[in-house]
Amino acid sequence: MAGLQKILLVEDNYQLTNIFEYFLKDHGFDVRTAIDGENGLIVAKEYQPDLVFLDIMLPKMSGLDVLKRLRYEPEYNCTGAKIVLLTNLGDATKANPDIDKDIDGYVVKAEIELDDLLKIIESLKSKTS
Amino acid sequence: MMRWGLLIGVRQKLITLLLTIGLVPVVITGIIAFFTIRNELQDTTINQLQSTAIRQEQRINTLVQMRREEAIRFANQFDLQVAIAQYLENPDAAKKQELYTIIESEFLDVVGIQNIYLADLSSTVITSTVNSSGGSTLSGEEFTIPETEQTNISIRQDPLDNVDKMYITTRLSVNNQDVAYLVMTFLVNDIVAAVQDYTGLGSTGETVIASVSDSETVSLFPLRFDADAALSTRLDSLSKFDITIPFTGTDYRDQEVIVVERPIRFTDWVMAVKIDTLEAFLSINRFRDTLLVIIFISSFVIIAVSYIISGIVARRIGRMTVVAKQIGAGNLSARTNFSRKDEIGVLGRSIDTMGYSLGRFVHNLESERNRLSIIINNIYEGILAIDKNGHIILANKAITELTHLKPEEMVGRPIKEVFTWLRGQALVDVDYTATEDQTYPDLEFKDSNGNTHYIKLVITRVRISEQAYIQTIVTVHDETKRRELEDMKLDFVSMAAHELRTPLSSLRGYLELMRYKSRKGINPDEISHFIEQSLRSSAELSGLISNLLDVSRIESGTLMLSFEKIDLAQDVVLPSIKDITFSANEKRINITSQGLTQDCFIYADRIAIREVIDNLLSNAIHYTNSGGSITVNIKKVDANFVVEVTDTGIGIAEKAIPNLFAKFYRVHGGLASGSVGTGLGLFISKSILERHKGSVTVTSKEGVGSTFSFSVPEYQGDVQSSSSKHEVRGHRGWTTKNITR
Repeated sequence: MAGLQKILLVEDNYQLTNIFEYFLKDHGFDVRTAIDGENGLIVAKEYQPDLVFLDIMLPKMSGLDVLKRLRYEPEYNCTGAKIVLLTNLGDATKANPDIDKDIDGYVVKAEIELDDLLKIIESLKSKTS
Repeated sequence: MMRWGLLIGVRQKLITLLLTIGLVPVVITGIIAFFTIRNELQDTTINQLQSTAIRQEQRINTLVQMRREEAIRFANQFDLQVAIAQYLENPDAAKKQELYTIIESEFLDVVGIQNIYLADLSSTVITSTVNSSGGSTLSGEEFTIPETEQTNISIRQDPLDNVDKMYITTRLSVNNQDVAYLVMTFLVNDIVAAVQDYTGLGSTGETVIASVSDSETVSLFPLRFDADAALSTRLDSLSKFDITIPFTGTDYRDQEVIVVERPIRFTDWVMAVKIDTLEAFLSINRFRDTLLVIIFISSFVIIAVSYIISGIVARRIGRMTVVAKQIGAGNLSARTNFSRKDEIGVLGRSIDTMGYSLGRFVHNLESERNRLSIIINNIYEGILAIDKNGHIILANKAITELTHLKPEEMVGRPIKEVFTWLRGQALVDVDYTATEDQTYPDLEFKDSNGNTHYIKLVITRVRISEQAYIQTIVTVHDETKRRELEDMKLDFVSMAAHELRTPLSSLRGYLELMRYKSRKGINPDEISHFIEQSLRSSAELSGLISNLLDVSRIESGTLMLSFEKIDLAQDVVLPSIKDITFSANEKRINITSQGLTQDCFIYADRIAIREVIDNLLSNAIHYTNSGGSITVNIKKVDANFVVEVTDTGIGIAEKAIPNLFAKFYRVHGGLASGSVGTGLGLFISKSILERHKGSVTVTSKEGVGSTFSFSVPEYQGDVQSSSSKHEVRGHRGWTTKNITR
């Protein structure tokens, strides 16, 4: 489990945030949450998460802008963090083909089960090691 | 002016024509008849003249001869010869008396003898019935007897009684020896009667007799004939026995006459039978005059008739000309209104029919043109017609609306000057002269206001002929609106899906959590919280779906409202604030109300108006950052209650405001920008307020905040409107939770 212990949830649907936070914490992860894009960057810089679940549609700053900054702006110390996009769109990468290389995966919110979060974390972990 | 000129022309022609037709036969026939009759008449006249001449000559001749024979017989009388012979031997008184007795008895025996003279060869009268002892009233000319003749016959006035008498002188011969002259005078009444017996030759002619000697012509009957020099010259040259040849001359009366002459036997007389030319040809002259009168009258009648007819004809032709000119000049309602059934009437009606048909035709053309014009100008697509030089010759209304140029500012100019097509930033060179039809999709056109229009150009070659005026039709499809609409709809569908998934994700998450917890051991408080959250998510979902249905109803005009008298503050606004305070507080937003708190009566659908205020409040919360504030103010302006919702949120860009209440419109653009909401709330609110005869407005400044205010008319009593009173809306809730978190 080591290496992907610190998880940041950037998601404006507070219910979903609550659900994910509750579930992940219950599985022993260290979880922080942010409600919009700007807040997400602030939290990320301070928290330096291993893994970011990043919603695309966020108030104030879109998830894609947040993604670019975390990936390419060292001031946030997150260039090496795993980033998984959260979306309700069918295929986020199809609409934005150039982001494929910047992300480590994406999740369609309405389609996943909570257990899938664990599977995703596992698979990312195995990639890292 | 033209009309009268034409009239005169037609009249002249018609008159000339009718005169020719009418007069020529009359004149020709008349001339032929004139000469025929004239010749006939001349022959007849001459025949009559000749037969009269012959008849008179025979009669006169007979009378003359009778007297001559009398004289000769008496001269040969035996006793006379004896007595004269004895007297000449011995001229004594007794012998003279004997001679006197003989001539006295002869004188008494023979009727018609006036006097008898007996003269010796020296022309001395021996004795006479006038004076038995001799002495004479004779002139002496009586004793000249031509050698070849037995007698000398002459006529002269007897000085004894001044009566015209015939003097016949005969030689008295004894033994073939001329011894004396015998002169006998006769009355000439019968000869005069014969001369004057001028029957069958009219009243002006006459018969004259002249004595023609070698030296002179002496008129015998009548004596004044001497004065006729012309005739006497003619008579003079005549041979005594010439057969009569008619000739014309002028006689002593200065009359032109036709003359036939005959010699009288035993005399040197010539008888001339004359007739006045005037009388001879009186009938032919009368005929000629009648003919002239007929011609004259005919001419007059023909001229009069043709003048009248030509007047009628010319007037009608003139009328037709005027009408034809009027029709030619464009007055298609001009008519001759002829009703007559003749050729000109038919012609006039033909012109009328032509005018009518032309009028119909032009009218049809006009209406066809108008129809075409209406169609062309009301076609949504812009249409340009281009000539072979690439100049615009037609631009319809859609084009003027696109370019903001008037048609006259475009027509005649080269299309390349007026229209510049872009794709991206690059100029696109459109080939308007291509022989094949071309389509240029995805062009951009910047109008004079700087707005970009998305255009699809279709270049259609007109394939009538190379010489055709219009060579190319350019159809300009302005796809800007359609694009915007399509973008909006795509956006809406994505947004709808996204928004529907959001509560659905929550719902599913809580259910999964409950399943997870049920495996690990149940904490009733946690489960209760999860269930609450699940219910809330499902309510959100249901609200979203309601919103979509509302839009559908508004669009189809089937949104049903139930009007009643309600208190805007007590029944709607304040409960809404109360209900939403929880959400606001969750986001650390302070929400307060001010102004009126009761007796704000309006006639409205409670649930619909609640939807409006809920919508405005949830938008305010959504676009206001934590720590901000929202103020709701209720006031009365004139006869309206106004609710103002003022936030300290992010505000709205000025250019976005006009579209704010449009369906599907979302201030922050597409999905990528992170904006949320279906873009339906304000559209629904506006539609609801319009149904209440109210309105909604917004003022905003980016970074400062926005004020949405809506107004609803004050209650004026129940309005009985069949369309707005009792409605069935079912029991679904009007929850405007399309933008909630």
